[in-house]
Amino acid sequence: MVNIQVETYKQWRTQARELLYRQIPPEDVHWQVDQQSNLLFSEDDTDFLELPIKQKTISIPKAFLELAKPVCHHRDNSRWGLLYSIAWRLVFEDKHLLNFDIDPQIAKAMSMRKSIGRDIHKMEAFVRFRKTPCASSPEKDYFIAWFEPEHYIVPLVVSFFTRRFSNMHWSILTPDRCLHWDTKQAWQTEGVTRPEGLHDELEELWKAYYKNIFNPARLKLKAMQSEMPKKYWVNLPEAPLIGELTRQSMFRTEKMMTNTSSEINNRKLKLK
Amino acid sequence: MKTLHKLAILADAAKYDASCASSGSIKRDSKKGKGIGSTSGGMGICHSYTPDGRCVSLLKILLTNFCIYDCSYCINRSSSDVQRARFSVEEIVNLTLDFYKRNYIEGLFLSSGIIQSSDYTMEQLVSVAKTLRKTHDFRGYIHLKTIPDASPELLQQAGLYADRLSINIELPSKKSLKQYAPEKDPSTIHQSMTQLKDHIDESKESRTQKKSAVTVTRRSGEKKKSLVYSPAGQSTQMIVGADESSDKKILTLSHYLYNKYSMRRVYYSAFSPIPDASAVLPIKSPPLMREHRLYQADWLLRFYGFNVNEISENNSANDGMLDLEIDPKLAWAINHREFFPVNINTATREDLLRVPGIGAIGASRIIQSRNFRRLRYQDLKKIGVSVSKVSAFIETQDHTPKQLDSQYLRQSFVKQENQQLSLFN
Repeated sequence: MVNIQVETYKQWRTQARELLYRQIPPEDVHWQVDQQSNLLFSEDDTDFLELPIKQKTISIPKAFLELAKPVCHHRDNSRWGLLYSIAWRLVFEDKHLLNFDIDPQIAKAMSMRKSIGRDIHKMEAFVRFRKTPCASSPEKDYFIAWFEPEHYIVPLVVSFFTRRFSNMHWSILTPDRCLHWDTKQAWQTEGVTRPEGLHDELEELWKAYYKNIFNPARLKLKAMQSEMPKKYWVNLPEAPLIGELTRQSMFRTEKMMTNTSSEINNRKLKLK
Repeated sequence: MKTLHKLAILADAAKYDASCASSGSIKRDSKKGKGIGSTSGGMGICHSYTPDGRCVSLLKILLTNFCIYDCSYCINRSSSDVQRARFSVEEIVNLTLDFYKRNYIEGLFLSSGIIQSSDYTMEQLVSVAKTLRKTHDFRGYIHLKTIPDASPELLQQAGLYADRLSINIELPSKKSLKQYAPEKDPSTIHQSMTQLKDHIDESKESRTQKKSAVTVTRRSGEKKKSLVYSPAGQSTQMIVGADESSDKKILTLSHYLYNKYSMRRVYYSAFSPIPDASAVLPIKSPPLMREHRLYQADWLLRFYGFNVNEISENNSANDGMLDLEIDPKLAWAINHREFFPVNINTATREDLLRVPGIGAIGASRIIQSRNFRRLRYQDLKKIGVSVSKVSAFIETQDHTPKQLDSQYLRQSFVKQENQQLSLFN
């Protein structure tokens, strides 16, 4: 049994390549998830790099690497083994495997990629910056956001946020990793716990907007929740309004339907 | 009046416009600029959803809800007793930038009631967009609702700053427009749509010619190498259920608008009860299901190779109305059983697209997967095709539809659909 610990796509790719050179089959590889399991296995661990290389060149379709890259950011610990298994099959069994999306492993990897894509999209949508005075230079605005992504996707949203908010100073904090930008450079730091006391008075305007753009005569809660699941609500300043707006909507609609139109009322008055 | 109060009034006044899309523009970002903002070039982003299930993508507000027109269906008509407010250009610019910096929005969708004159109002709208672009180098999305009888010069300017322009067709027939919006002139609406189309086409052409030279900053007219004019095209909106027009009439008009003016979208807005409604129009719940069916039909027209007659032909008994209980593709299939079963392993893409339950993605997946092995019935599920819907219309080696000739076919689907809807609502 070979024990391997990786944390990033690059590390995984390097290790996977060495394993394939040595034709070590997926069932002989144990992909460790953290240091603790490392202790369990370290006794009889053999360094696989000492094993002989059986195959000097391997070719792997580019499309596979494009699949592996996002999948590596999935929170499911089975991802490394799954990807190695697919790589193995592509090299030694069927180089067209990827086209066959009803294969259970391909289907699983595809669905993981989809879930990553959705998570990225939701993060780009639901991150909320709050303006805070900058400690070092008070004349500058600093923007801080707290977000809890489903997967380890912070490295995948760097380009989106830096392209969009290039001329702002900001940080996006998450439990896994934090992303910072100072108008020229982006850098990442370790994850943090939820910061307290972030407040932005502009949120009152945003809430007023949210309240008033909603049409009570068209209430469709399920449709809203399928696009904005409850797990995101905790970090959305507008979410606490949902309950109240929903409760009032029947009453407001009925009021509009019982038409107390000024036009009609005026007419009634004239008749009197 | 405080900005907060104005925002409440002018957002409320804007919510009957269905569109909030931020899609279809060119790709740009603020890396080399002085301001903020980016667009993806494809899909937009919904930054929130309101309890009515609608996407909040843009700051959708009116410049003012004062209006000299008296369109019966409109909450802002001059005879309504609704509270009035007016934003200054600067207020809207600041709101947009402030909201954008918090990542609440993709940009601005600005519309307005008509004050003083069409040209005066349009000038104000253009001035907001121009200030955002020129003074603040804002590179997010801007959608301007265009006043149809504003001068050609103003329409020409608007497109230099906006990603998308739209002129509402409002009602499906000229007769209804005359009746309910007497100050609006249908011929002006069409003329302006034509003008927008010409500018949009010209700009598209110049961009294909000078593809390499297109950069974000060249939005102005001066040293242009290529002209960027309303890169996300134009769209329009029709109110459904305020007048008597049939779905066939509506879809015929949509088809015309898509072809004649290359509309990117025709939005359907179920006529909704409004505070202080006009007495000449029906006061009832908005026909949301009808609106939903029209969107489905619209989709079939644009992406599935159906034509208006196919979608509404079998509904002559219903005076050209779509079947509310089942979707229009299913309705067509049930009335054209001779077309089925479609063989999953041999059918063309076009034919696959005619199968209820198989969408564009489903069809592509089927075609891709069957290159490698013959598909069995159970494989469809793995590809992500809803088996319960397609089973009546397709065949594979291990599956022949049983109910295809059944007189209860429609009924069985109505049951299925009702179950789904109760989940949905």
